Amino acid sequence: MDASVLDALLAPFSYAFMQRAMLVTLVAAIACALLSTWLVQMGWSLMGDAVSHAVLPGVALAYILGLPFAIGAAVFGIGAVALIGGVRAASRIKADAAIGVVFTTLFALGLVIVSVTPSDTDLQHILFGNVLGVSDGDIAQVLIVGGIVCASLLVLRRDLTLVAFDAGHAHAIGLRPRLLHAVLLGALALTVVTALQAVGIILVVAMLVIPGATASLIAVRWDALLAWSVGITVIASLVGLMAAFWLDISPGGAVVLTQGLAFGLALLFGPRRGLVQRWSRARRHAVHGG
Amino acid sequence: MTDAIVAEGLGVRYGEVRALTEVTARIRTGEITGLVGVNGSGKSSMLAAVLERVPHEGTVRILGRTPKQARRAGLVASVPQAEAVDWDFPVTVRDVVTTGRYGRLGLLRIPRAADRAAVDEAIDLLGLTHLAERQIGALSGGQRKRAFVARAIAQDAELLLLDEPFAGVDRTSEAAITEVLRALRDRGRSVVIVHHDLSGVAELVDTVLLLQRGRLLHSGPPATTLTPERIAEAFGAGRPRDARAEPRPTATDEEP
Repeated sequence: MDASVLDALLAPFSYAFMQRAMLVTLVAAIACALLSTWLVQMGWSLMGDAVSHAVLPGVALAYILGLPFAIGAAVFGIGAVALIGGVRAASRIKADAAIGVVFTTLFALGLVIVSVTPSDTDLQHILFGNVLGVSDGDIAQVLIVGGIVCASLLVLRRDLTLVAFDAGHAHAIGLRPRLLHAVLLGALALTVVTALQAVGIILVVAMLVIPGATASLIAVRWDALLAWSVGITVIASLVGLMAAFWLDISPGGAVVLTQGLAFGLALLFGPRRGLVQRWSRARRHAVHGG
Repeated sequence: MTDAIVAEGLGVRYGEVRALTEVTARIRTGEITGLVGVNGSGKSSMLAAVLERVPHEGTVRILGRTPKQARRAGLVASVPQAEAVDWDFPVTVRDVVTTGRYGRLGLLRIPRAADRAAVDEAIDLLGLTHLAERQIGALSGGQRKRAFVARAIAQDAELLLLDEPFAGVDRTSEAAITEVLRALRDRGRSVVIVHHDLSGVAELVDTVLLLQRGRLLHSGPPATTLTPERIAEAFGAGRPRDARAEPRPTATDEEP
Protein backbone atom coordinates (compact mmCIF):
# COMPACT_ATOMS: atom_id res chain seq x y z
CA MET A 1 0.00 0.00 0.00
CA ASP A 2 1.19 3.49 -0.83
CA ALA A 3 2.74 5.14 2.24
CA SER A 4 0.69 8.30 1.83
CA VAL A 5 -2.57 6.33 1.67
CA LEU A 6 -1.60 4.43 4.81
CA ASP A 7 -0.73 7.71 6.55
CA ALA A 8 -4.09 9.14 5.59
CA LEU A 9 -5.92 6.05 6.84
CA LEU A 10 -4.08 6.08 10.14
CA ALA A 11 -4.36 9.86 10.53
CA PRO A 12 -7.39 9.58 12.84
CA PHE A 13 -5.28 7.77 15.39
CA SER A 14 -2.89 10.74 15.71
CA TYR A 15 -5.61 12.47 17.73
CA ALA A 16 -5.57 11.78 21.46
CA PHE A 17 -9.35 11.22 21.66
CA MET A 18 -9.13 8.64 18.87
CA GLN A 19 -6.26 6.86 20.60
CA ARG A 20 -8.33 6.65 23.76
CA ALA A 21 -11.32 5.45 21.77
CA MET A 22 -9.18 2.80 20.13
CA LEU A 23 -7.77 1.59 23.44
CA VAL A 24 -11.20 1.29 25.08
CA THR A 25 -12.81 -0.27 22.03
CA LEU A 26 -10.01 -2.83 21.58
CA VAL A 27 -9.96 -3.96 25.21
CA ALA A 28 -13.75 -4.23 25.33
CA ALA A 29 -13.91 -5.93 21.94
CA ILE A 30 -11.24 -8.50 22.83
CA ALA A 31 -12.97 -9.39 26.11
CA CYS A 32 -16.27 -9.73 24.23
CA ALA A 33 -14.65 -11.76 21.45
CA LEU A 34 -13.09 -14.27 23.85
CA LEU A 35 -16.31 -14.67 25.79
CA SER A 36 -18.41 -14.91 22.64
CA THR A 37 -16.72 -18.16 21.60
CA TRP A 38 -18.15 -19.93 24.64
CA LEU A 39 -21.50 -18.14 24.56
CA VAL A 40 -22.07 -19.13 20.94
CA GLN A 41 -20.88 -22.74 21.31
CA MET A 42 -22.95 -23.28 24.45
CA GLY A 43 -26.08 -21.73 22.99
CA TRP A 44 -25.93 -18.92 25.54
CA SER A 45 -26.16 -15.99 23.11
CA LEU A 46 -29.52 -14.98 24.53
CA MET A 47 -27.91 -14.86 27.97
CA GLY A 48 -25.47 -12.25 26.57
CA ASP A 49 -28.45 -10.27 25.35
CA ALA A 50 -30.13 -10.60 28.73
CA VAL A 51 -27.20 -9.54 30.89
CA SER A 52 -26.28 -6.61 28.67
CA HIS A 53 -29.80 -5.18 28.98
CA ALA A 54 -30.31 -6.12 32.62
CA VAL A 55 -27.41 -3.94 33.80
CA LEU A 56 -29.20 -0.70 32.84
CA PRO A 57 -30.94 -0.15 36.19
CA GLY A 58 -27.68 -0.92 37.99
CA VAL A 59 -25.79 1.63 35.94
CA ALA A 60 -28.56 4.22 36.38
CA LEU A 61 -28.60 3.71 40.15
CA ALA A 62 -24.80 3.89 40.28
CA TYR A 63 -25.03 7.21 38.40
CA ILE A 64 -27.57 8.57 40.87
CA LEU A 65 -25.51 7.41 43.87
CA GLY A 66 -22.25 8.61 42.38
CA LEU A 67 -20.70 5.13 42.34
CA PRO A 68 -18.61 3.62 39.55
CA PHE A 69 -20.91 2.23 36.82
CA ALA A 70 -19.05 -1.10 37.04
CA ILE A 71 -20.38 -1.77 40.52
CA GLY A 72 -24.02 -1.19 39.60
CA ALA A 73 -23.66 -3.14 36.39
CA ALA A 74 -21.95 -6.08 38.05
CA VAL A 75 -24.58 -6.28 40.81
CA PHE A 76 -27.48 -6.23 38.36
CA GLY A 77 -25.74 -8.43 35.79
CA ILE A 78 -25.06 -11.19 38.30
CA GLY A 79 -28.45 -10.54 39.95
CA ALA A 80 -30.17 -11.01 36.58
CA VAL A 81 -28.47 -14.38 36.08
CA ALA A 82 -29.54 -15.50 39.55
CA LEU A 83 -33.07 -14.22 38.95
CA ILE A 84 -33.32 -16.11 35.64
CA GLY A 85 -32.26 -19.29 37.42
CA GLY A 86 -34.77 -18.58 40.19
CA VAL A 87 -37.66 -17.97 37.80
CA ARG A 88 -36.89 -21.23 36.00
CA ALA A 89 -36.67 -23.19 39.22
CA ALA A 90 -39.85 -21.69 40.67
CA SER A 91 -42.00 -22.10 37.56
CA ARG A 92 -42.40 -24.40 34.60
CA ILE A 93 -41.60 -21.83 31.94
CA LYS A 94 -38.79 -22.59 29.52
CA ALA A 95 -35.34 -21.02 29.65
CA ASP A 96 -35.80 -18.57 26.77
CA ALA A 97 -39.04 -17.26 28.24
CA ALA A 98 -37.48 -16.89 31.71
CA ILE A 99 -34.58 -14.96 30.18
CA GLY A 100 -36.96 -12.80 28.15
CA VAL A 101 -39.15 -11.93 31.14
CA VAL A 102 -36.26 -11.06 33.45
CA PHE A 103 -34.12 -8.99 31.12
CA THR A 104 -36.91 -6.95 29.54
CA THR A 105 -38.35 -6.19 32.98
CA LEU A 106 -34.98 -5.09 34.32
CA PHE A 107 -34.31 -3.06 31.16
CA ALA A 108 -37.70 -1.38 31.57
CA LEU A 109 -36.86 -0.63 35.21
CA GLY A 110 -33.66 0.99 33.96
CA LEU A 111 -35.57 3.11 31.43
CA VAL A 112 -37.96 4.26 34.17
CA ILE A 113 -35.07 5.23 36.46
CA VAL A 114 -33.38 7.06 33.58
CA SER A 115 -36.62 8.93 32.77
CA VAL A 116 -36.89 10.34 36.31
CA THR A 117 -33.20 11.22 36.65
CA PRO A 118 -32.67 14.99 36.21
CA SER A 119 -29.62 15.00 33.91
CA ASP A 120 -29.75 12.06 31.61
CA THR A 121 -26.95 12.94 29.20
CA ASP A 122 -24.53 10.35 30.58
CA LEU A 123 -27.25 7.74 30.73
CA GLN A 124 -27.96 8.18 27.03
CA HIS A 125 -24.32 7.33 26.54
CA ILE A 126 -24.87 4.09 28.41
CA LEU A 127 -27.46 3.07 25.87
CA PHE A 128 -25.44 4.00 22.80
CA GLY A 129 -21.86 4.26 24.03
CA ASN A 130 -19.64 7.32 24.12
CA VAL A 131 -16.28 6.05 23.10
CA LEU A 132 -15.07 9.42 21.79
CA GLY A 133 -15.58 11.07 25.18
CA VAL A 134 -14.15 8.56 27.65
CA SER A 135 -12.52 9.93 30.79
CA ASP A 136 -9.31 8.73 32.42
CA GLY A 137 -11.42 6.99 35.05
CA ASP A 138 -13.41 5.17 32.35
CA ILE A 139 -10.21 4.03 30.68
CA ALA A 140 -8.75 2.72 33.94
CA GLN A 141 -11.99 0.88 34.67
CA VAL A 142 -12.10 -0.72 31.22
CA LEU A 143 -8.43 -1.75 31.40
CA ILE A 144 -8.72 -3.28 34.87
CA VAL A 145 -12.04 -5.08 34.40
CA GLY A 146 -11.28 -6.09 30.80
CA GLY A 147 -7.85 -7.32 31.83
CA ILE A 148 -9.28 -9.45 34.64
CA VAL A 149 -11.89 -10.96 32.30
CA CYS A 150 -9.38 -11.75 29.53
CA ALA A 151 -6.83 -13.23 31.93
CA SER A 152 -9.44 -15.42 33.69
CA LEU A 153 -10.87 -16.71 30.42
CA LEU A 154 -7.45 -17.50 28.99
CA VAL A 155 -6.23 -19.27 32.14
CA LEU A 156 -9.41 -21.35 32.42
CA ARG A 157 -9.99 -21.77 28.69
CA ARG A 158 -9.38 -25.52 28.56
CA ASP A 159 -11.70 -26.23 31.49
CA LEU A 160 -14.37 -23.89 30.11
CA THR A 161 -14.12 -25.55 26.73
CA LEU A 162 -14.39 -29.02 28.24
CA VAL A 163 -17.48 -28.01 30.22
CA ALA A 164 -19.01 -26.54 27.06
CA PHE A 165 -18.27 -29.71 25.09
CA ASP A 166 -18.90 -32.48 27.62
CA ALA A 167 -20.02 -31.34 31.06
CA GLY A 168 -20.54 -35.00 32.05
CA HIS A 169 -16.88 -35.86 31.54
CA ALA A 170 -15.80 -32.65 33.25
CA HIS A 171 -17.91 -33.63 36.25
CA ALA A 172 -16.64 -37.23 36.20
CA ILE A 173 -13.00 -36.15 36.41
CA GLY A 174 -13.65 -33.87 39.37
CA LEU A 175 -14.10 -30.47 37.71
CA ARG A 176 -17.03 -28.36 38.85
CA PRO A 177 -19.24 -27.52 35.86
CA ARG A 178 -21.58 -25.30 37.88
CA LEU A 179 -18.69 -23.26 39.21
CA LEU A 180 -17.25 -22.92 35.70
CA HIS A 181 -20.67 -21.85 34.39
CA ALA A 182 -20.76 -19.26 37.18
CA VAL A 183 -17.31 -18.04 36.13
CA LEU A 184 -18.56 -17.59 32.57
CA LEU A 185 -21.65 -15.70 33.72
CA GLY A 186 -19.57 -13.53 36.06
CA ALA A 187 -17.20 -12.80 33.19
CA LEU A 188 -20.23 -11.95 31.08
CA ALA A 189 -21.47 -9.38 33.60
CA LEU A 190 -18.01 -7.80 33.85
CA THR A 191 -17.51 -7.83 30.08
CA VAL A 192 -20.75 -5.95 29.61
CA VAL A 193 -19.36 -3.32 31.97
CA THR A 194 -16.25 -2.88 29.85
CA ALA A 195 -18.18 -2.75 26.61
CA LEU A 196 -20.71 -0.17 27.82
CA GLN A 197 -18.32 2.70 27.17
CA ALA A 198 -17.44 1.51 23.71
CA VAL A 199 -20.72 0.59 22.10
CA GLY A 200 -23.41 1.00 24.75
CA ILE A 201 -25.84 -1.52 26.13
CA ILE A 202 -27.80 -2.10 22.96
CA LEU A 203 -24.85 -3.06 20.78
CA VAL A 204 -22.92 -5.01 23.42
CA VAL A 205 -24.86 -8.09 22.51
CA ALA A 206 -23.55 -7.85 18.95
CA MET A 207 -19.98 -7.83 20.20
CA LEU A 208 -20.80 -10.79 22.44
CA VAL A 209 -22.22 -12.90 19.64
CA ILE A 210 -20.88 -11.94 16.20
CA PRO A 211 -17.14 -12.66 16.68
CA GLY A 212 -17.72 -16.15 18.11
CA ALA A 213 -20.36 -16.95 15.50
CA THR A 214 -18.06 -15.75 12.71
CA ALA A 215 -15.07 -17.72 13.99
CA SER A 216 -17.19 -20.88 14.26
CA LEU A 217 -17.67 -20.74 10.49
CA ILE A 218 -13.91 -20.86 10.04
CA ALA A 219 -12.07 -22.73 12.82
CA VAL A 220 -12.11 -26.46 13.64
CA ARG A 221 -10.02 -26.20 16.83
CA TRP A 222 -10.72 -24.20 19.95
CA ASP A 223 -7.48 -22.23 20.06
CA ALA A 224 -7.97 -21.31 16.40
CA LEU A 225 -11.53 -20.31 17.24
CA LEU A 226 -10.27 -17.93 19.94
CA ALA A 227 -7.61 -16.53 17.61
CA TRP A 228 -10.08 -15.95 14.75
CA SER A 229 -12.64 -14.43 17.08
CA VAL A 230 -10.13 -11.96 18.52
CA GLY A 231 -8.48 -11.28 15.15
CA ILE A 232 -11.77 -10.50 13.47
CA THR A 233 -12.88 -8.24 16.28
CA VAL A 234 -9.58 -6.30 16.37
CA ILE A 235 -9.72 -5.65 12.63
CA ALA A 236 -13.41 -4.75 12.81
CA SER A 237 -12.71 -2.33 15.68
CA LEU A 238 -9.94 -0.53 13.78
CA VAL A 239 -11.88 -0.42 10.51
CA GLY A 240 -15.05 0.65 12.30
CA LEU A 241 -13.32 3.48 14.19
CA MET A 242 -11.66 4.72 11.01
CA ALA A 243 -14.98 4.63 9.19
CA ALA A 244 -16.59 6.52 12.08
CA PHE A 245 -13.91 9.22 11.86
CA TRP A 246 -13.98 9.71 8.11
CA LEU A 247 -17.72 9.33 7.58
CA ASP A 248 -18.72 11.06 10.84
CA ILE A 249 -20.95 8.16 11.91
CA SER A 250 -21.57 6.45 15.27
CA PRO A 251 -18.34 4.64 16.28
CA GLY A 252 -20.13 1.84 18.12
CA GLY A 253 -22.47 1.36 15.20
CA ALA A 254 -19.58 1.35 12.73
CA VAL A 255 -17.62 -1.26 14.71
CA VAL A 256 -20.60 -3.59 14.98
CA LEU A 257 -21.53 -3.10 11.31
CA THR A 258 -18.00 -4.08 10.34
CA GLN A 259 -18.29 -7.21 12.49
CA GLY A 260 -21.58 -8.00 10.78
CA LEU A 261 -19.87 -7.60 7.41
CA ALA A 262 -17.11 -10.00 8.52
CA PHE A 263 -19.79 -12.52 9.52
CA GLY A 264 -21.38 -12.17 6.09
CA LEU A 265 -18.04 -12.83 4.41
CA ALA A 266 -17.41 -15.92 6.60
CA LEU A 267 -20.91 -17.17 5.85
CA LEU A 268 -20.20 -16.94 2.14
CA PHE A 269 -16.55 -17.95 1.99
CA GLY A 270 -15.83 -19.72 5.32
CA PRO A 271 -13.86 -22.95 4.87
CA ARG A 272 -15.99 -24.96 7.30
CA ARG A 273 -19.53 -24.32 6.20
CA GLY A 274 -19.25 -21.46 3.71
CA LEU A 275 -22.14 -21.17 1.26
CA VAL A 276 -19.78 -20.83 -1.70
CA GLN A 277 -17.89 -23.97 -0.72
CA ARG A 278 -21.10 -25.93 -0.18
CA TRP A 279 -22.49 -24.66 -3.46
CA SER A 280 -19.37 -25.62 -5.43
CA ARG A 281 -19.26 -29.03 -3.73
CA ALA A 282 -22.90 -29.66 -4.61
CA ARG A 283 -22.16 -28.60 -8.16
CA ARG A 284 -19.18 -30.96 -8.40
CA HIS A 285 -21.32 -33.81 -7.11
CA ALA A 286 -24.02 -32.97 -9.64
CA VAL A 287 -21.47 -32.95 -12.48
CA HIS A 288 -19.89 -36.23 -11.38
CA GLY A 289 -23.27 -37.74 -10.77
CA GLY A 290 -24.04 -37.17 -14.44
CA MET B 1 -11.90 -57.01 47.26
CA THR B 2 -13.65 -53.63 47.35
CA ASP B 3 -16.66 -53.48 45.08
CA ALA B 4 -16.54 -51.12 42.09
CA ILE B 5 -19.94 -49.66 42.94
CA VAL B 6 -22.17 -50.22 45.93
CA ALA B 7 -25.58 -48.58 45.62
CA GLU B 8 -28.13 -48.68 48.40
CA GLY B 9 -31.69 -47.49 48.00
CA LEU B 10 -30.75 -45.42 44.95
CA GLY B 11 -33.60 -43.27 43.64
CA VAL B 12 -33.87 -40.50 41.07
CA ARG B 13 -36.83 -38.23 40.46
CA TYR B 14 -37.28 -35.67 37.67
CA GLY B 15 -40.09 -33.45 38.93
CA GLU B 16 -43.11 -35.72 39.23
CA VAL B 17 -41.50 -38.56 37.30
CA ARG B 18 -39.67 -41.33 39.14
CA ALA B 19 -36.79 -42.50 36.96
CA LEU B 20 -35.18 -44.83 39.47
CA THR B 21 -36.66 -46.41 42.59
CA GLU B 22 -34.89 -48.11 45.52
CA VAL B 23 -32.11 -49.74 43.54
CA THR B 24 -29.69 -51.66 45.74
CA ALA B 25 -26.85 -53.33 43.87
CA ARG B 26 -23.20 -54.32 44.05
CA ILE B 27 -21.06 -54.07 40.95
CA ARG B 28 -17.91 -56.11 41.31
CA THR B 29 -14.38 -55.00 40.50
CA GLY B 30 -12.64 -56.57 37.53
CA GLU B 31 -15.87 -57.36 35.72
CA ILE B 32 -17.88 -56.07 32.80
CA THR B 33 -21.37 -55.33 34.05
CA GLY B 34 -24.31 -54.60 31.78
CA LEU B 35 -27.19 -52.35 32.80
CA VAL B 36 -29.91 -53.64 30.52
CA GLY B 37 -33.50 -52.55 29.97
CA VAL B 38 -35.79 -50.79 27.55
CA ASN B 39 -35.55 -47.03 27.00
CA GLY B 40 -36.85 -45.30 30.11
CA SER B 41 -36.05 -48.23 32.42
CA GLY B 42 -33.67 -46.08 34.49
CA LYS B 43 -30.27 -47.18 33.15
CA SER B 44 -28.89 -43.75 32.32
CA SER B 45 -30.43 -42.30 35.47
CA MET B 46 -28.57 -44.93 37.47
CA LEU B 47 -25.26 -43.91 35.86
CA ALA B 48 -26.07 -40.25 36.51
CA ALA B 49 -26.91 -41.00 40.14
CA VAL B 50 -23.73 -43.05 40.63
CA LEU B 51 -21.71 -40.05 39.45
CA GLU B 52 -23.96 -37.68 41.40
CA ARG B 53 -24.79 -35.73 38.28
CA VAL B 54 -28.42 -35.60 39.39
CA PRO B 55 -29.93 -35.23 42.86
CA HIS B 56 -30.67 -38.70 44.23
CA GLU B 57 -31.88 -40.65 47.21
CA GLY B 58 -29.84 -43.41 48.79
CA THR B 59 -26.08 -43.85 49.00
CA VAL B 60 -23.33 -44.73 46.56
CA ARG B 61 -19.76 -45.84 47.15
CA ILE B 62 -17.29 -46.08 44.29
CA LEU B 63 -14.30 -48.30 45.04
CA GLY B 64 -14.89 -47.69 48.73
CA ARG B 65 -15.03 -43.90 48.42
CA THR B 66 -17.77 -41.34 48.08
CA PRO B 67 -18.53 -40.43 44.46
CA LYS B 68 -16.99 -37.01 44.98
CA GLN B 69 -13.75 -38.50 46.31
CA ALA B 70 -13.68 -41.01 43.47
CA ARG B 71 -14.19 -38.28 40.86
CA ARG B 72 -11.53 -36.06 42.36
CA ALA B 73 -9.11 -39.01 42.41
CA GLY B 74 -9.73 -39.60 38.69
CA LEU B 75 -11.04 -43.12 39.32
CA VAL B 76 -14.06 -42.84 37.03
CA ALA B 77 -14.21 -42.36 33.26
CA SER B 78 -17.48 -41.79 31.46
CA VAL B 79 -18.39 -42.28 27.80
CA PRO B 80 -21.54 -40.31 26.93
CA GLN B 81 -24.42 -41.27 24.68
CA ALA B 82 -24.03 -39.99 21.12
CA GLU B 83 -27.09 -37.78 21.61
CA ALA B 84 -25.42 -35.97 24.51
CA VAL B 85 -22.56 -34.65 22.37
CA ASP B 86 -22.48 -31.54 20.15
CA TRP B 87 -20.67 -33.05 17.16
CA ASP B 88 -20.23 -29.67 15.53
CA PHE B 89 -18.00 -28.51 18.39
CA PRO B 90 -14.58 -27.25 17.24
CA VAL B 91 -12.38 -29.98 18.73
CA THR B 92 -10.29 -32.66 17.05
CA VAL B 93 -10.09 -36.32 18.02
CA ARG B 94 -6.75 -35.62 19.71
CA ASP B 95 -8.29 -32.73 21.69
CA VAL B 96 -11.08 -34.99 22.93
CA VAL B 97 -8.71 -37.78 23.98
CA THR B 98 -6.39 -35.28 25.66
CA THR B 99 -9.22 -34.18 27.98
CA GLY B 100 -8.95 -37.66 29.51
CA ARG B 101 -5.66 -36.50 31.05
CA TYR B 102 -7.00 -33.22 32.47
CA GLY B 103 -7.34 -34.58 36.00
CA ARG B 104 -3.58 -35.07 36.12
CA LEU B 105 -2.61 -31.71 34.65
CA GLY B 106 -2.04 -28.29 36.21
CA LEU B 107 -4.45 -25.37 36.07
CA LEU B 108 -3.57 -24.51 32.47
CA ARG B 109 -4.06 -28.19 31.46
CA ILE B 110 -0.91 -28.26 29.36
CA PRO B 111 -0.01 -31.91 28.64
CA ARG B 112 3.50 -33.13 29.42
CA ALA B 113 5.43 -35.62 27.30
CA ALA B 114 4.04 -38.57 29.28
CA ASP B 115 0.48 -37.31 28.77
CA ARG B 116 1.00 -36.85 25.05
CA ALA B 117 2.42 -40.37 24.85
CA ALA B 118 -0.62 -41.77 26.72
CA VAL B 119 -2.94 -39.92 24.33
CA ASP B 120 -1.09 -41.21 21.26
CA GLU B 121 -1.19 -44.74 22.64
CA ALA B 122 -4.93 -44.59 23.35
CA ILE B 123 -5.67 -43.18 19.89
CA ASP B 124 -3.56 -45.92 18.33
CA LEU B 125 -5.23 -48.63 20.43
CA LEU B 126 -8.61 -47.66 19.03
CA GLY B 127 -7.23 -47.43 15.48
CA LEU B 128 -7.78 -43.70 15.08
CA THR B 129 -4.22 -42.47 14.47
CA HIS B 130 -4.95 -41.47 10.88
CA LEU B 131 -7.99 -39.48 12.04
CA ALA B 132 -6.42 -37.83 15.10
CA GLU B 133 -6.39 -34.31 13.67
CA ARG B 134 -9.94 -34.48 12.27
CA GLN B 135 -12.76 -32.49 13.80
CA ILE B 136 -14.73 -34.96 15.94
CA GLY B 137 -17.95 -34.55 13.95
CA ALA B 138 -16.16 -35.47 10.71
CA LEU B 139 -15.93 -39.10 11.92
CA SER B 140 -18.46 -41.90 11.45
CA GLY B 141 -20.67 -42.91 14.39
CA GLY B 142 -18.45 -45.84 15.32
CA GLN B 143 -15.25 -43.84 15.05
CA ARG B 144 -16.72 -41.11 17.25
CA LYS B 145 -17.53 -43.66 19.91
CA ARG B 146 -14.03 -45.12 19.62
CA ALA B 147 -12.61 -41.62 20.20
CA PHE B 148 -14.51 -41.39 23.49
CA VAL B 149 -13.37 -44.86 24.55
CA ALA B 150 -9.81 -43.73 23.72
CA ARG B 151 -10.37 -40.79 26.06
CA ALA B 152 -11.34 -43.19 28.85
CA ILE B 153 -8.22 -45.27 28.11
CA ALA B 154 -6.02 -42.16 28.20
CA GLN B 155 -7.55 -41.31 31.57
CA ASP B 156 -6.43 -44.71 32.88
CA ALA B 157 -9.41 -44.84 35.25
CA GLU B 158 -10.27 -47.77 37.49
CA LEU B 159 -13.95 -47.69 36.58
CA LEU B 160 -15.42 -47.02 33.14
CA LEU B 161 -19.08 -46.08 32.70
CA LEU B 162 -20.27 -46.31 29.10
CA ASP B 163 -23.73 -45.12 28.08
CA GLU B 164 -24.90 -47.05 25.00
CA PRO B 165 -21.40 -47.66 23.57
CA PHE B 166 -22.74 -49.80 20.73
CA ALA B 167 -25.69 -47.69 19.59
CA GLY B 168 -25.28 -46.65 15.94
CA VAL B 169 -21.88 -48.28 15.81
CA ASP B 170 -20.50 -50.28 12.86
CA ARG B 171 -19.12 -53.80 13.25
CA THR B 172 -15.46 -52.73 13.04
CA SER B 173 -15.90 -50.22 15.83
CA GLU B 174 -17.98 -52.60 17.92
CA ALA B 175 -15.24 -55.23 17.66
CA ALA B 176 -12.54 -52.67 18.51
CA ILE B 177 -14.45 -51.37 21.54
CA THR B 178 -15.31 -54.89 22.75
CA GLU B 179 -11.69 -55.97 22.53
CA VAL B 180 -10.52 -52.94 24.49
CA LEU B 181 -13.15 -53.46 27.21
CA ARG B 182 -12.17 -57.12 27.61
CA ALA B 183 -8.49 -56.18 27.84
CA LEU B 184 -9.34 -53.65 30.55
CA ARG B 185 -11.27 -56.24 32.53
CA ASP B 186 -8.37 -58.65 32.21
CA ARG B 187 -6.17 -55.96 33.79
CA GLY B 188 -8.55 -55.78 36.75
CA ARG B 189 -10.48 -52.68 35.69
CA SER B 190 -14.23 -52.46 36.14
CA VAL B 191 -16.53 -51.64 33.24
CA VAL B 192 -20.22 -50.77 33.33
CA ILE B 193 -22.12 -50.53 30.05
CA VAL B 194 -25.65 -49.34 29.54
CA HIS B 195 -27.41 -51.28 26.80
CA HIS B 196 -30.97 -50.96 25.54
CA ASP B 197 -31.22 -54.39 23.94
CA LEU B 198 -29.65 -57.80 24.38
CA SER B 199 -27.52 -58.07 21.28
CA GLY B 200 -24.04 -59.18 22.21
CA VAL B 201 -24.63 -58.69 25.93
CA ALA B 202 -24.40 -62.35 26.93
CA GLU B 203 -21.03 -62.74 25.22
CA LEU B 204 -19.54 -59.55 26.60
CA VAL B 205 -20.67 -59.08 30.17
CA ASP B 206 -19.95 -61.03 33.33
CA THR B 207 -22.97 -59.74 35.23
CA VAL B 208 -26.27 -58.29 34.08
CA LEU B 209 -28.49 -55.89 35.98
CA LEU B 210 -31.93 -56.07 34.39
CA LEU B 211 -33.90 -52.86 34.92
CA GLN B 212 -37.57 -52.20 34.34
CA ARG B 213 -39.47 -48.98 35.02
CA GLY B 214 -36.74 -47.70 37.29
CA ARG B 215 -36.51 -50.84 39.41
CA LEU B 216 -33.87 -53.55 39.52
CA LEU B 217 -35.65 -56.66 38.32
CA HIS B 218 -32.87 -59.24 38.43
CA SER B 219 -29.11 -59.40 38.57
CA GLY B 220 -26.54 -62.12 38.05
CA PRO B 221 -24.56 -63.89 35.33
CA PRO B 222 -26.14 -63.72 31.84
CA ALA B 223 -26.83 -67.46 31.81
CA THR B 224 -29.16 -67.29 34.79
CA THR B 225 -30.42 -63.72 34.38
CA LEU B 226 -31.22 -63.59 30.68
CA THR B 227 -33.75 -66.40 30.70
CA PRO B 228 -36.71 -66.14 28.30
CA GLU B 229 -39.12 -65.49 31.21
CA ARG B 230 -37.05 -62.72 32.72
CA ILE B 231 -36.37 -61.13 29.34
CA ALA B 232 -40.10 -61.17 28.63
CA GLU B 233 -40.70 -59.58 32.03
CA ALA B 234 -38.14 -56.81 31.45
CA PHE B 235 -38.85 -56.10 27.83
CA GLY B 236 -42.55 -56.87 27.68
CA ALA B 237 -44.21 -58.39 24.65
CA GLY B 238 -41.88 -56.67 22.18
CA ARG B 239 -38.87 -58.90 22.81
CA PRO B 240 -35.56 -57.35 21.92
CA ARG B 241 -33.29 -58.77 19.32
CA ASP B 242 -30.84 -61.33 20.60
CA ALA B 243 -27.52 -61.60 18.82
CA ARG B 244 -27.36 -65.29 19.60
CA ALA B 245 -30.51 -65.89 17.64
CA GLU B 246 -30.21 -63.44 14.79
CA PRO B 247 -27.55 -61.10 13.48
CA ARG B 248 -27.98 -57.47 14.44
CA PRO B 249 -28.23 -54.97 11.61
CA THR B 250 -25.35 -52.54 11.98
CA ALA B 251 -24.49 -49.06 10.83
CA THR B 252 -22.08 -48.77 7.95
CA ASP B 253 -18.60 -47.60 8.71
CA GLU B 254 -18.09 -44.77 6.29
CA GLU B 255 -14.49 -43.71 6.20
CA PRO B 256 -14.67 -39.94 6.07
